Amino acid sequence: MKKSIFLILLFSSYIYSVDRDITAKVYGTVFSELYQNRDLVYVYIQDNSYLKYFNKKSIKATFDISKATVALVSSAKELEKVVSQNRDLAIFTTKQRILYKSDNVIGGFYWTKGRRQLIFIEERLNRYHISLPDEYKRYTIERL
Amino acid sequence: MKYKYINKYVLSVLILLVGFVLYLQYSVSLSTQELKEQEIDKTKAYASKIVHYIKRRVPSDLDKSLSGNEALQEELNRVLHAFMTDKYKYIFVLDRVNDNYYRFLLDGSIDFKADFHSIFIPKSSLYDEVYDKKTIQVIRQKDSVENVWISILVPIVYQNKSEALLVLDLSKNYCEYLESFNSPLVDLIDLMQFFLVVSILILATLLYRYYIFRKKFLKDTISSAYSREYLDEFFSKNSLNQYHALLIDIDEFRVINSKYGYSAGNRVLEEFVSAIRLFLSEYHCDLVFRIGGGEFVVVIKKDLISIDEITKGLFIRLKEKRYFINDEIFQIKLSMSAMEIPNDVVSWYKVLRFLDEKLLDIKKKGKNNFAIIDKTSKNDLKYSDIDYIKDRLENEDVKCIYQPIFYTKERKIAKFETLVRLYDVDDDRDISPYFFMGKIRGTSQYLKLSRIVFKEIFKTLESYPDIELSVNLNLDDLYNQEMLEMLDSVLSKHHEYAHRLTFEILEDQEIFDYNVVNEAFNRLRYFGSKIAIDDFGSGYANYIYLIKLNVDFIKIDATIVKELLSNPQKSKEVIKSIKDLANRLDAKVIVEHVSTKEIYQMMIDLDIEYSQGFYLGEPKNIREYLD
Repeated sequence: MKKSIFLILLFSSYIYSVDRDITAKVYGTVFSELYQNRDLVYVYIQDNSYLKYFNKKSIKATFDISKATVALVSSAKELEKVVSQNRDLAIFTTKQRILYKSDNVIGGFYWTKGRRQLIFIEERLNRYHISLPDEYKRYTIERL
Repeated sequence: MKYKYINKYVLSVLILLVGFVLYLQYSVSLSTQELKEQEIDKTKAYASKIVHYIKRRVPSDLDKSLSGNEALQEELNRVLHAFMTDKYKYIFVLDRVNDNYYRFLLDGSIDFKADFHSIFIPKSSLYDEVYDKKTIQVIRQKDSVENVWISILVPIVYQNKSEALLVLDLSKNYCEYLESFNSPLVDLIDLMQFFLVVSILILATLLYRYYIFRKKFLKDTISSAYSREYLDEFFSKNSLNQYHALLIDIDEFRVINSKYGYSAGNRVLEEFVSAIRLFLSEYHCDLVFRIGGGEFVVVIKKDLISIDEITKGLFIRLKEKRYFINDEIFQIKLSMSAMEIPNDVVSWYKVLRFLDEKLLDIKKKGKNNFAIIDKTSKNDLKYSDIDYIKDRLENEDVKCIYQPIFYTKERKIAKFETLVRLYDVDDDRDISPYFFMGKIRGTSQYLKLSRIVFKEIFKTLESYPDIELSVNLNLDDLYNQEMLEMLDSVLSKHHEYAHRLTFEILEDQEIFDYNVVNEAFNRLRYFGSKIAIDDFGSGYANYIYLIKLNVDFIKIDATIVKELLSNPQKSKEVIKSIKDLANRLDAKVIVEHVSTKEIYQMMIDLDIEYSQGFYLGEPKNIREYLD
């Protein structure tokens, strides 16, 4: 069910016309897929505006990095803060360039040339023992 | 209740308008589409030029040439940027890494420029197709890519191998700009659509109001039966010969109103109609119309029920129905005439008139009964139409037939009674006075008929010098100055034959002024004509006539003669006494309706001077008796 919702959100024409709100919902779906085995995923955020999107039963936002399952990072500054506090925490980014700045960044969801881009880096996912369903293989690259 | 509320012309205009608007919309859309297609073709050529430029600048190995050569990257990015006019949103060059993803090689954007070799995962499989097939492709983005209308994908091919592809995005703004070319027309179409919608709404409102108005107009508010107007409309739209028609009249309905009050009368009407409807509902019909105070018409399709079933069934149902008004339970009496409307009848009014006449017959015979007009021929309806009768008179389609009056003892023809018929030329049939006499009496048509008849009578008297004729004259005619003048005129004109003519005076009302009648008799007698009193012994024709009037013959009424068979002794005494009295007053007696040998023999026994009847001779053309 979650997968269908995700795919609908991902590919429907509607999703391409939406802004940050819908994007944030996509993050929620992505995190659910990434951590399918967990009952509760804590997403470390530093931007308050994301707070309202991670208040579901299975995904919650946290400002406490020690509780976090994964971190959502939107800038180099935020990345630096996360890495400095928890060197092993998996990171998901909203900016393409962040992908190149740390090996902890397992993937990203961002806009390039008006097009949505969802990317997972297989090599890094493996490091965190995360395996993605087959539906996401087309968004997965081996390494950067 | 079916009715076409939308006039076909209004509907045609609306359909034309809607069609015109749709056509305009289609034309504008086609024109805009053509404009866009032209622009896409131009953009393809433009993108090909860019590719041509890149290939000229980098003749081979694009990726290798750009890798590590930032100056070349910068130069070509600037060139791409230079190609970006307002039409274009993005121009960039991609290199396929593997089946999964692409990398940016060049990007003409200034803001948010993609890094060299940064990853790009396309959504569409057309990217791979362009790469593999080396053909230009167009992706219509709709809403899938922000602010991009069309993406043109052009392969960059070196030595017959795709090394990269150029993506040129036409902006959505430009699409809107193209669409705006036809915007005045689009605005006009929008305006027309608005106008049409408003018109249709107004029309719908008017139709609704008209429907409500019609519903009120076409239904009787008291009984909830349909109105007479709707009955007329119904038969203007439906074929008469598919229906049975019943005319129902509540006997003495006025009495109900006066005895129980109008509100009670209204309730009776309402319940009466409900009862009819309940009966008709068994045949999925509700066509009951109120055409008068307590008068209703019911029509039902012939194929639903036979005329006998509907008439008897409905009559019994309505007769047995009980009404509970003002703490009193009562039943009403009704008279009903019914008919299966014959084929070829074109006027509902004729049917109604015919039913009405039959209803009158029922009422005359005591009301509270029904009559089914069996095998109603179109001729019966035809003859009951006054216009048809007028036409016959206009064409002088009148004929006289003659019934002999015999000297009783000798059984020799003494004279002939003239009987008048109209003639149906089309069907070669005689039309009985039953159909027309009552309708034309008192009108100019009656006078016209009389003129024709007297012309015929004197012609006959002239042709047969040895015969005498008698002719019926209504008592009313003696009060009619025009008629008397006409009689004076014809008698004067044919005075030499007048003494062979007897006027048999019929009457259906009491004589109030015997002087006037005697004076009229004198005028008729002036040239020698004789006077007979017809139907003596019935109605108003009684003994006072013998005292007050001077008559030559007394014609005993058929009802007395008929009694000879069932009540011979008394009847004989009555006839004998009339004869004795008449003889003493110098009048002779004629007995009509001598229909059997037995009656004829009685007439001989009673020494009756003259006898007339079917036993002795039927009414025929006079030639059949004399030639």
